[in-house]
Amino acid sequence: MEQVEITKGSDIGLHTQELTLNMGPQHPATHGVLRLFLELDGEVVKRCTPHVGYLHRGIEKLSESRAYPSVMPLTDRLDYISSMINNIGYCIAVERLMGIEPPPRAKYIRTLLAELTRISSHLLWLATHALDIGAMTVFLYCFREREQILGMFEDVIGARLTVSYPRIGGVRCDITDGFLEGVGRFIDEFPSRIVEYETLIDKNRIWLQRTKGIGVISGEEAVRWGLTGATLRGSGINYDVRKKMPYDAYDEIEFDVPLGQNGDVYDRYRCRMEEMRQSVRIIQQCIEKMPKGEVLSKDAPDLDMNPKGHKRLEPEMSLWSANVSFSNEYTTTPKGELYSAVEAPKGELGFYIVSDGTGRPYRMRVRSPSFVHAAAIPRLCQGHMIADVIAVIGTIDIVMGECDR
Amino acid sequence: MTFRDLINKALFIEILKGLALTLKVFLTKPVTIKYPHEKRPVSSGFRGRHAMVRDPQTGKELCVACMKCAMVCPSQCIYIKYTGAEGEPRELTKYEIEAYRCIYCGYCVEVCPMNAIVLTEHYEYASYKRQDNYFDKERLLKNWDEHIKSLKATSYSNKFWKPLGIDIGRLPANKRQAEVELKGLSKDDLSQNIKEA
Amino acid sequence: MDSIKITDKLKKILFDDIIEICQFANQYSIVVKKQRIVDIMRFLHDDPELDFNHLQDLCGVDYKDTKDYRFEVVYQLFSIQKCHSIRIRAAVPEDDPTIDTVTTIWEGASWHERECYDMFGIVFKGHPDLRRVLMPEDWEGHPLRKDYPLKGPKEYWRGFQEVLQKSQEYRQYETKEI
Repeated sequence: MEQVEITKGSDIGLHTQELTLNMGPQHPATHGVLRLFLELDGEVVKRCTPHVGYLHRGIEKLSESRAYPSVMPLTDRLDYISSMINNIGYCIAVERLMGIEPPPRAKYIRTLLAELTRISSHLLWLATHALDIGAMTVFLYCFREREQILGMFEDVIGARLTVSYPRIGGVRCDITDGFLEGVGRFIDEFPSRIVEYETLIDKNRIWLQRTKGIGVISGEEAVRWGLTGATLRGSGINYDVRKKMPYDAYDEIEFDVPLGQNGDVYDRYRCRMEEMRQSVRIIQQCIEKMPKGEVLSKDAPDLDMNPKGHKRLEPEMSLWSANVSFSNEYTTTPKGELYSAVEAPKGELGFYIVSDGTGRPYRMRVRSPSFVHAAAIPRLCQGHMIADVIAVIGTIDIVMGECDR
Repeated sequence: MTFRDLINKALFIEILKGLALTLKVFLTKPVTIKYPHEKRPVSSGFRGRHAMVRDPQTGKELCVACMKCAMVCPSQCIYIKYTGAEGEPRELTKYEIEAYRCIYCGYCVEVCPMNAIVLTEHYEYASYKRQDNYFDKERLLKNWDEHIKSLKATSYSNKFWKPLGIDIGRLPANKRQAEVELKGLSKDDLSQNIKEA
Repeated sequence: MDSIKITDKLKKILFDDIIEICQFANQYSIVVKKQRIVDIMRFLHDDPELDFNHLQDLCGVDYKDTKDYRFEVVYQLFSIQKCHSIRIRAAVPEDDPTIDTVTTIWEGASWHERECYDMFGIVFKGHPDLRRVLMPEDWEGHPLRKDYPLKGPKEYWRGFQEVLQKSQEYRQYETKEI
């Protein structure tokens, strides 16, 4: 990092004072409603205090009064640009709580769609990050590909952003072979698109000057700050929930975890670009290995789950009788507490659920990566110019819906 | 810095490469569409405006007031009232959906045992008045009429009535053959049906 | 090191502080007294065999009427190198809702603790900047407590009347309905 030399006005006899500047909450580069209270010495940030909570909807409190399946659409609204992974994270947590094992096809479908979501989220990150720093073209190109992914989601489930696709114990509906072919075509083409983005900004001198040596954090310190995801891996720490605590089909699939070295904005950018390539690899393997069979477990609770618990389907029953025979006893949710994490595009998304045996969570805590990353903004901005604050906000890939919950 | 890097930097090679790419894309066909004039085709099963299915025989709604949709709704925006004693068929007196609060998760469609409610593929229903998107029963039935008018097919089935790949034993009887006949549902036929009934 | 071994080891070392040890779905959690929480955390963080360097999560839980103590502060710990995890739950009674801060070990705990204070009213002693984080600064009450009212009182939030008045004042500038 280059040292910024400042000639102070007071040295040459001028009256100077620190400037306080309020950035946000309605600032286009803060990716939502983040408010930063900056104390400036000239153009150098002396102190930075983030204020969050403008988008607080009380999802944790709301979920305490809803049955387990009805909580899931709320999790869509956490990180609204990668809602599929939020849903999957929640479903996995409840499945582990209830002891339900989703069928293999459901696992592969989830993995495939989670990686598509990761690509779309990283595309949006690259688009806005580049736009903030001043590269307009990348923004438009990224949206072109993202649109294709959203179109695929629409084909599967009928919604583009807030999908609510997984279900506790599987997924909501099966995918068709035509869809898989469409994904295959997209995946074949996509790596060349990544090369296009890289042509535009990878060696661009303005991009390099704006990103290299900005927001540097060492690996050890990044862990202490609780950073996760690509923000942590840019500092060279190999921590990926998909590898360390595998869920869904990730333990049957080969992929690498790209790591950075310097822990600056540029390295994190490189990490995310490589991650998109790894996602392509994962999707290819998912399409090849996609097993046949059911998509929803027999033990899965019904959507209109009774607060007492859910009823299991009888194994042998006549398929065409009007009365579906359920076992008479409610399978209650076990009492206990559990933490389960998934690797969201932003970082580690954790769900801590305390169950008291009823059909509603007693306490549901969402450990959202954006919240933790927002806490680290002051550390990353320290001693930088005010324009670099924008680069720092972009690099930690913050979504306020998730930060404020 | 090597000599090669120096040349690259002096001649703005990386910027020229970028410009060449943008020029290439400039000459290709645009991917954007001119929205109000051109419309993007919506895939089937899109979760758009709500409608209540009109029974082709009676011309009334299919709903039996089982309250399942109101119970499962995560945003709790469905209001139902009914009359009828315990053990007797209920009669629906009020069915209202507040579309501004709805989050379009499709749970009501999936949970309905009668295929009475549906999220149609219609998505252009912004209006100047708030009341326009507070759907009562009549309005929901009208939405359905508008929806089937735009369809060319003779029958209609929604993706969430019978989700693909779900074990048929999980579905209530009506959901197993989830299709609505659209024949005889034009306005004239309907009024005739109602008269006969 | 798997969770059972970790629990056994901790059982010997933290014998006096442990209230109970729970196990659910292969996850072990140790309920401890709150007095020496910083020492316990420092030990877990520094011990080369345990090496819990990553604080995954810190949150509060309100066990009103179900447990002897009312609140719990839950720490999820994970070791990135050793790849094992443990959950520490510190019991916090209702009459003295305070606990020592762990920001001296993990800076990232700072906002989690602020949120916990915001939502449950648990005061973290020694925290450098203990303010509300998600709720407005002048908010009364702690929303995630179980006795927090789910429906608001008849009076609306502070400033509601002013906003209502202003909106009525501005109504004259609205365009006519089309």
